Amino acid sequence: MSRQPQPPLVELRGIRAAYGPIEVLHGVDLTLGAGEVLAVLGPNGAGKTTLLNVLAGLHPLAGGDVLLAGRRVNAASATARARAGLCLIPEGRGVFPNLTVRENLRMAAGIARHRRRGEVEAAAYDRFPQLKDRRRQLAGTLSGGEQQMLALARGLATDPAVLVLDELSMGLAPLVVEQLYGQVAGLARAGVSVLVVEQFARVVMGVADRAALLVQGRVAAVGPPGEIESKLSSAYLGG
Amino acid sequence: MNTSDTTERIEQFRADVASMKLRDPATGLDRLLVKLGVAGLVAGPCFGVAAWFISHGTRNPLQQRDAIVLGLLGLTFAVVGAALFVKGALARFLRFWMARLVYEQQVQADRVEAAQGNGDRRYPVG
Repeated sequence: MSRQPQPPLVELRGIRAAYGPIEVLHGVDLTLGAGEVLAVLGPNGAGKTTLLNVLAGLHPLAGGDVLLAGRRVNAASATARARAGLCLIPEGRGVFPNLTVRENLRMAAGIARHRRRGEVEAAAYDRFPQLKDRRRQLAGTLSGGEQQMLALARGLATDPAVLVLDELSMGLAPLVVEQLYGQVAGLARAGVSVLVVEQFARVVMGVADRAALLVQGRVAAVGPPGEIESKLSSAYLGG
Repeated sequence: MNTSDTTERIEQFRADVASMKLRDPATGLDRLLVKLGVAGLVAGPCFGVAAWFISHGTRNPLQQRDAIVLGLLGLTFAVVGAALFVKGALARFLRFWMARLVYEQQVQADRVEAAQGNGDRRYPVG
């Protein structure tokens, strides 16, 4: 007896989203398979962050469907999606600035699956040794790179099945970006599905299995990173 | 994480999504309750006024007792309506307030960082 093909872990069908009367996503279709890394690229204002917020349940849909593991979850709250294993690490600082590094990790430990507080902290320090040295420091006073590491460590503490990253490299030094994407590559190898949005395309191309080009709220192209890279200049410069 | 762990996690994800209790977005329970609250707040006083006119328009004690029941119903509608309205309105306000609090904390942290001029300084303990 042949096995039924499994639906993709994430499927976005005809996604439309708006801010008031202004529609910013005009029918976006994308899929993300198990253990796949999909990079969503596009110029500023293309609707990338809105797309992620729609997927995470933080922005209302104006049309279309969000499917997780083949089930339509338009009505599921952001909390329900996060509990199931969809983890969004938002653009910029996704940490609690007035809590220490350790306290931020403890917040994550509260919702971590089958992991104790100590295990969550140990895993985070193992992954990012810099955080161990700064565990008593307020997260808001960390450097940008360290804050992003903390955000990533906190997200990973929840043992996500689908990791959604928004502009991981924003405002960070190239070495830090390299280190962060090294971690993302490791996660992908371990089977976590990753959807990553980047404005600066080259940093993510080495990690992605597929890339999608989002321009003015529409998917202009989807394909292997090499193929998409050749279309970037015209998309960014409007040529 | 080995392959079996990964497969297990993906299967767990599929199972968790399958067991999600989804609310039909068309019902919009919160909004419905607020609307019911407003309706109760409007209908309650109307019932009270109608009861007053009924009781003063007749000398029949049975009709006057009906008017008392009507008045009490109006009072109930108004109280329940007010409770539903306050619940819905307060929940929205509190969500907004919390989002604002988080935003202000971030802005404050930015100010502290800028004032220090060095993100590596230690958090003063004690």
